Amino acid sequence: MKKVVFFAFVGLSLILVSYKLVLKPVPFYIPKGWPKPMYDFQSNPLSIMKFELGRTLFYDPDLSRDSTISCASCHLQFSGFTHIDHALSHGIDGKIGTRNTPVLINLAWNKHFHWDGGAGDLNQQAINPLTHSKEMDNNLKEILRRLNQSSFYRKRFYEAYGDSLVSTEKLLKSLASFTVSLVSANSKYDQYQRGEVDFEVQEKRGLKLFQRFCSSCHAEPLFTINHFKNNGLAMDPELNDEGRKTITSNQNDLGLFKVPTLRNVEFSFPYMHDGRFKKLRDVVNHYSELPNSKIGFSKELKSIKKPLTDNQQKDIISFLKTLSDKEFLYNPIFMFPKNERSAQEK
Amino acid sequence: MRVLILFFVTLNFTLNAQLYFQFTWGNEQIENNKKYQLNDGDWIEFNELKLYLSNYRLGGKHHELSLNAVDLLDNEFPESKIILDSMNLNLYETLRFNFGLDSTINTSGILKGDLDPMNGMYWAWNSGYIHLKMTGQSSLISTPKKEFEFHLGGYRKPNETYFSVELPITGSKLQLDLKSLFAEHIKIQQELVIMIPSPNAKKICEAASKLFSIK
Repeated sequence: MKKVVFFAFVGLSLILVSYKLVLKPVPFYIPKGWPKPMYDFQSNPLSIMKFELGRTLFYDPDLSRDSTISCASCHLQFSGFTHIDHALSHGIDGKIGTRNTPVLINLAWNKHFHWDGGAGDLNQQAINPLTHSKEMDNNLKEILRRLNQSSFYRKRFYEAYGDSLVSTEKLLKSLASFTVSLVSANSKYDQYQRGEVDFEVQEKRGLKLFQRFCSSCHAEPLFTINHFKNNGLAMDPELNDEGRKTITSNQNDLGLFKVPTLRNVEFSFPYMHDGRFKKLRDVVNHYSELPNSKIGFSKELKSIKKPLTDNQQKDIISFLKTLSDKEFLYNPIFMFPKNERSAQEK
Repeated sequence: MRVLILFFVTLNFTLNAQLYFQFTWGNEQIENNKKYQLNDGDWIEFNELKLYLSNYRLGGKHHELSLNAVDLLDNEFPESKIILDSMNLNLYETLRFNFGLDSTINTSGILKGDLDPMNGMYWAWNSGYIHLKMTGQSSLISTPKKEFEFHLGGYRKPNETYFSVELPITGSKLQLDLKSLFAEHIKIQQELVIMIPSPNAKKICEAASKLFSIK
């Protein structure tokens, strides 16, 4: 009898431990009907421990030079992980960058990162903000030194990788485990597509107009085609941002920027690569006015042959608001972690 | 006695041969932070010399060997400069390798070992590696600090900076002669700083890839 109790106890403990380590599902999933992700999951098999570690790192200001800025300082969850109300984000010492913070949504389906596509791999992407002089302004050696000195992190890295030594690779793959898991696919639009709710008449009209004028670049269900386009904005002479050309040195890429997803666009203002538009109506109006523009733009936008009427613009905006996914924007599993390390170490 | 020594030397070369890399100034091995003479009494000094070589192919009459290795050769650390170790080099007549890293390696997402971004050869804003890094000072430069800084890299066409090199194996030292590079291919007074993939970066890397020899 004692033996039975003993084995039952051991068995139960094993189940509990393995639930914590293995069985608890990772938040990432592929919504029904979506394309195959671009992210190479073989390069970084997801686990709940890596996800939680990445989440802790994402919210930890100690990764920045003077321990003031975390990834989340510019990527706030309730705005779709962008810097709400900031045309151009400020990083360390209040320094202003040259571009609007991009949202972090459905990154597993992204092929290029940054407005100019300078990073081609989510595993590598985070090096840029961690080391950029206007963002977190740290260097990898110093970050690894800090993490390796922290008993909290040593333990977390051991749990995630079976080895407590923190390396560049483990740091970056942990951050990627968190950011790749930021899946937003439960907006009113998604529920409408699944037949769970109906659209208002205006939203239906907006969807039709959207499909006619916008979806050649913002294609469903991701609302981006992962390409670089010229959306007809005049270059800001102070920023002098050449976009994709900065990366490829190809003259044809001058003024091209990555097409962003429109999911949660209602809350990710301001808009465009330099954040020049504060309101959705400014954006829709910009595209609507392109037939009168003297500035060149990508051929997809030639589908707009004459300016849209006020009502058409309102219909499109009404549709764009169906892309808001409150469950994603307020999902507690993506929030500031309760196991925040400063609380434990102090 | 002399025959015996020769025998041992030969045996040693056969069984335990190494190919060792050196940056040279003419025939002299370069040391960091030491002045070297340019023409007309001018001098140059290197603070940092780092180079990626990759994908070695050894060819011989009866043997061939491919090594998909990546080596970061840092002039500051002699131990980083052994390319091929414990090889029977007598079996082979030619060595082929890449100056720099091809696009496959640049985009592989391997973030450890010689490819760890911590080594200071990684571009975060345009993800990819610097293939040849040369920084230092020269009396030819008129700015107050007299500094030059070359971060030469990039794998995207048309400014790709990796090149295939093929050499006969005639010794155990692979050398890259920077004296010829600076004398014939770099106008250091005008091109103090190159930090991005560009036609100039490509031109210098292509020229450098033709200045290797095995001695």
